[in-house]
Amino acid sequence: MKNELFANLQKAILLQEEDLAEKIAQNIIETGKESALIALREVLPDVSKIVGEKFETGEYFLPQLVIAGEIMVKVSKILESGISIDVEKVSKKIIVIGTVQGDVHTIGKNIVKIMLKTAGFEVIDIGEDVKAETFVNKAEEHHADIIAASCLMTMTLPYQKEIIEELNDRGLRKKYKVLVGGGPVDQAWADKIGADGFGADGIQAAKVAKQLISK
Amino acid sequence: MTISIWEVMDRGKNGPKMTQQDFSMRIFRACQKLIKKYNIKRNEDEIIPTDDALTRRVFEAGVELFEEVGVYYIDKARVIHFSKDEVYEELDQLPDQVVLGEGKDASILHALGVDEGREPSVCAGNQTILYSSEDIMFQNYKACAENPETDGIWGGVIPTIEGKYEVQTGTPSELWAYRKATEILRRAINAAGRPGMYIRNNAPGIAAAIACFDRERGMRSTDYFEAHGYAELLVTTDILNRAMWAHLNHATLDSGNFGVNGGFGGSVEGAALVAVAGALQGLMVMKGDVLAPFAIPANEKSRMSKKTLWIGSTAIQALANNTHAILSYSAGDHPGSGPGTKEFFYESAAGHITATVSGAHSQGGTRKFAIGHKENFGTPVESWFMAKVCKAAAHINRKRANDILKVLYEKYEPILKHPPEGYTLNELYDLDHFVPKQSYQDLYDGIIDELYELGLVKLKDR
Repeated sequence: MKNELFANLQKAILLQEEDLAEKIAQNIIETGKESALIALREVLPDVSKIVGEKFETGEYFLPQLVIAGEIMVKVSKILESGISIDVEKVSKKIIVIGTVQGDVHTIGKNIVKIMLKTAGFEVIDIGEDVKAETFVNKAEEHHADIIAASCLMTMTLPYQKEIIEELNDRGLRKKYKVLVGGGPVDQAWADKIGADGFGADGIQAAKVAKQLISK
Repeated sequence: MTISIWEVMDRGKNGPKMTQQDFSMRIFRACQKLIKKYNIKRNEDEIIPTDDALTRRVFEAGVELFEEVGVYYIDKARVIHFSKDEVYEELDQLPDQVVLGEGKDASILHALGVDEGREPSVCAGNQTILYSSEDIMFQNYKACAENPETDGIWGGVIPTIEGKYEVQTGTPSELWAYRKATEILRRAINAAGRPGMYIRNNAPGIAAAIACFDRERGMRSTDYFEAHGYAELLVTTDILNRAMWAHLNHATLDSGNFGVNGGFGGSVEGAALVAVAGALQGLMVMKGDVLAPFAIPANEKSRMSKKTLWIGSTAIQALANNTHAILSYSAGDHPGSGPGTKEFFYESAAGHITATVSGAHSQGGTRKFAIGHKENFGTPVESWFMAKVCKAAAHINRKRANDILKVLYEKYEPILKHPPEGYTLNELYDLDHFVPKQSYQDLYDGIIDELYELGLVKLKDR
């Protein structure tokens, strides 16, 4: 019965049937807290992985990712309501994401943002052409776990390094993980500037972000 | 021009307010509805569509999409709207021809039509690559410009000053670096005996773009100016500034926005509608003279997947068959494979052929999609190849092009997910004499022979 509910939840999200997914989430919490926890810790991450794969193969486009992500957020809230305060709650890790100073490209950042949300992160998008100082200020403001910086132009690469320098200058380097990505970015650049992770695309960014928070 | 750029700005200040995500999801919902209404369905047996009734419907749906969703002005978080009547009126007022460059080297661009046999103007060169030295930059540009089939040249940049100071956008270093690169480009085309050929150096920031302007040593009003959107139907003040800079100089402006394979169009068909609407953005918002609808992938390493090529070709044909707009498309500009590999040539040939037979001038230069910060990651050979193939493709029709593309696709499809990295100029060229190493020359000659045998006969008959 529970397994059937989990399978139906997965199917409803992948078919983007929001009302049905919410109803099934309600049914899950009615079967007990443990079911809600399983759904949060195993079923939703599995769905997130499938959503990412469908985007990678071209079956899903960005809107389907957005819709699936939104449904998963709503379903998560319903499932969390079924877990009492004396049981461990699944807490979301927070990522502040932006495109660096001098760069106004959005597509890559938006794809990564949606993939991170789908993977269960809370994502604060701070926009484009963002100064290093602002990245760090926003991370402090939102109590972020990860700062994610995108750039698409080679001439804006140095601004990713400036974020790390800003963190060092303010004695905050150890407080945040820094994830970088974008067209001219590669692992060698990430290593050179001392970033904690590099995402070649949205799916890899989500994978690396998960690895960073598990450290 | 019926709607001035001032009226556009005013509509941008006063249009309906919404978040960018809400706007993008409106694109999706509108595309879903219009695809059904206009019965738009991709024929998966073709890379380049041959159904003119379909592209007619794509055009009409694209206009309706543009009217319904408008353009999102990021800086104001508001939407700029235009009516269909306004769009049709401005389409009617587009020029029948534009001239890029000067004197004997000038290139006249007309609407190419579809299957009409008119050769495109080709702006080749290694688009925005990084160079290790001024000498290499000069030699590369000169060799690109010496090719008589090339009408214009893209520039690049040297990423460090005096070998140690990083060039950074928004700083004096950016102005200096792009100005220097443009001056070298001007000297190189003079040295190549093509002083009037048009050049393009797409400095990232508007300040740097303006800094490149100098009749004697840099960009001129007869060169290639462009103002393209960054994503689906979005515009920023920076883009409007770039457009205004072109208009102040009475320059020809190439302008548009793109549909994204994987983007908010929600499907391949939706992306084609967004690309058509992107061209209309270029017309109505940036006031372009040459319209540039094109297609890019959201999550692929090459612009030459079947779907991405279909999106671009469909949008170009929609406009080519139903307006007299002069169109540009950079279909072959960004293969996933790197220089010095046969896959680079197969991929870019597929793109170059698609652009020409669909009715577009190829203005995007040529360069591997992802170059990171590797220097000298391009050679004149790729530039010559682009010019040759784009022009030769004018002499085949869409059916023939599809047959050729099917063969090419089979050759490069296996590497699309993990394309070969390729080689730098230093590895492919004899730098002492600045000629391709024999192995690279042999590879290139072999590819030309292959394409000739496939039916691109004008490759050799020039």
